[in-house]
Amino acid sequence: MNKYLIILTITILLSTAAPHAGQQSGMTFNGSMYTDLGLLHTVHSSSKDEADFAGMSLFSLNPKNANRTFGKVECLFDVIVPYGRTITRYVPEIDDSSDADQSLPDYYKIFSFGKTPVLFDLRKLYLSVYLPFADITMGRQIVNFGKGFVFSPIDVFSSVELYDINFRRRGSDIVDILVPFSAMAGIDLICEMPFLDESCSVAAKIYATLFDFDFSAVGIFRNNDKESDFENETVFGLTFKGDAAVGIYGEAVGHYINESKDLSFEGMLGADYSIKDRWYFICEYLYKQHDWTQSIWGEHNIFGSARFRINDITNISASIIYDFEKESTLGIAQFYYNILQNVNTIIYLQGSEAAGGKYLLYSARVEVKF
Amino acid sequence: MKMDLYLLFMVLTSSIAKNFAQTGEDILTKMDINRDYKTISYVGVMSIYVKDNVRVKNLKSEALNGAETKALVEFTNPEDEGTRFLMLGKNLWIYFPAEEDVVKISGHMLKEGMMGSDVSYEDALESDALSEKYTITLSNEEKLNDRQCYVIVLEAKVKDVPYFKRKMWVDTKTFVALKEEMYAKSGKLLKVANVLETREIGGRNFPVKVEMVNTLRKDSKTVFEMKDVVFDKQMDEEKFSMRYLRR
Repeated sequence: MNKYLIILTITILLSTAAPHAGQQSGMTFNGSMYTDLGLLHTVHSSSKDEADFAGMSLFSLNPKNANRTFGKVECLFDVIVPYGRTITRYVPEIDDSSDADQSLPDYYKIFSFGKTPVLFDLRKLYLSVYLPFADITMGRQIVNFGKGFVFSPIDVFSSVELYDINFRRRGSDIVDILVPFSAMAGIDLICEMPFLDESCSVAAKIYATLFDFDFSAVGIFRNNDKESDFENETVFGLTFKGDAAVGIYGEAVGHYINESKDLSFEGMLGADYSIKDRWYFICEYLYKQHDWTQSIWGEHNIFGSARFRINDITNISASIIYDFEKESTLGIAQFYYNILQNVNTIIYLQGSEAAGGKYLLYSARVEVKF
Repeated sequence: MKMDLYLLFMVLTSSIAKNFAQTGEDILTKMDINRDYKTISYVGVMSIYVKDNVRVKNLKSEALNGAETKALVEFTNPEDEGTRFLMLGKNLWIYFPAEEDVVKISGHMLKEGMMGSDVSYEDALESDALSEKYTITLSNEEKLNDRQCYVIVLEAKVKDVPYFKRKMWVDTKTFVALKEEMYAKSGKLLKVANVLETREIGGRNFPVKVEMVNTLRKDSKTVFEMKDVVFDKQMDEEKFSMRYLRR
């Protein structure tokens, strides 16, 4: 983690220096801050329900160079201060109880105020160089290979954070080489860093727009290390997005286990639609043939989302994810109000029911963007 | 004598111009002269009004008029910073910088308000070839805000149009459409666009401030203002690509 902080510091120092006359130079800084305050209601079937204070404050900063003619340096990091029960989501070792979420990625603990940790999360830090024939990007970045909003079996490099109400994605440490063929077609080559690591994966995506549809073909070789539960595999897939009365998109993905020569299939089909510029709907269905693919989903899964725009500054929305095999549900209902320019309030109810338990989070967020 | 000749010339030319602009098609052709440019770049300010609230979005835009229209719009206000739109002919993509995600906006979603405004993606995508899609008739002449206007009515002759009927008030001197009403097939008024300010830029009369009212939305309007408008600036065509969208 220290090496990232050093790179970040050097990058900011270099980029803010040497402004060119008459040309936009230096760094631009954008970001956001929000505070969530809520009540976590844990439902127990055999004992009394629990209600605990839960919340967090998050400061997010996104510096990048202003003049991007020849390249780009971008960083995005979060400083997180979780409160109450939310602490156990971010720092599971504080609480060894079964409901502590062990699946969350590691965050760097900067320091603690008593039991309250202050965490650092480096979401992006990359350098792009724009050459006449290719764009080369190195570092932590988000790779969007797929078309799905929540279910995207082809997106093996950047997973969706399901418990984030905005469904943000996590970055991967990779080198990406984009070679364009035309304005609407090209090839994207990806290699995970470090290159010589046993778990290094490589991927290629060819994309093009044909007949007003976006198409892409993807091939990925996942070289899992010896300690991993999964064997080496080759992933290949096709994606599309276009319009046929409703907006439709999909992904068809094959997984081929190199040692056992097993082949399995994952497929996602999605649709979006709007009515009278007020109602917006998204639905996705994910089918997964075998358990051994590295996705968390069961055999049949659905995602549905509806949003009603009251006016340009107010809307209400709800979304649900249901896994038929595990009979698990994750749902969010939100009321959004843009109270002032760049200031939002969101009142939300998030609920989850799975084998591990059932909880409801009643929460309110105030967010400022700058 | 010199003055008399000048007056005669003025009378003749104005009467020729008036006689020439007898049909709706002719008026539309004259309107197109104002829009006859190879490239345009500007800095835009989009003010969205909801009752007494106003939300301002800043953007910069570059467009290229060729066999197909190409445009790149980038939002610069804090809330939407780095969000980009790429238009290549009838295709439209949005780039969301936080998620490094490029999303294609498909058919029905084009009817949505662009970034929450009263201007739909479909409005922004529309090409200038109205005569290919609409039957144009000159209805009458009337005054609008003390300016003499031709009133032309456009009725769709193809199915693939965002509005079945359109009514335009075109300034008889500058041939700028000062007002436009857009109707559904049922005859319901959907949108009203009013030009609030025109400016002469590079020999053209160009609307630089337009108000759009979506009648389906209550207490809502969008005012779009263009600043630093430059025509026919040399542009790198590579900018209008999926590659550049991600930069």
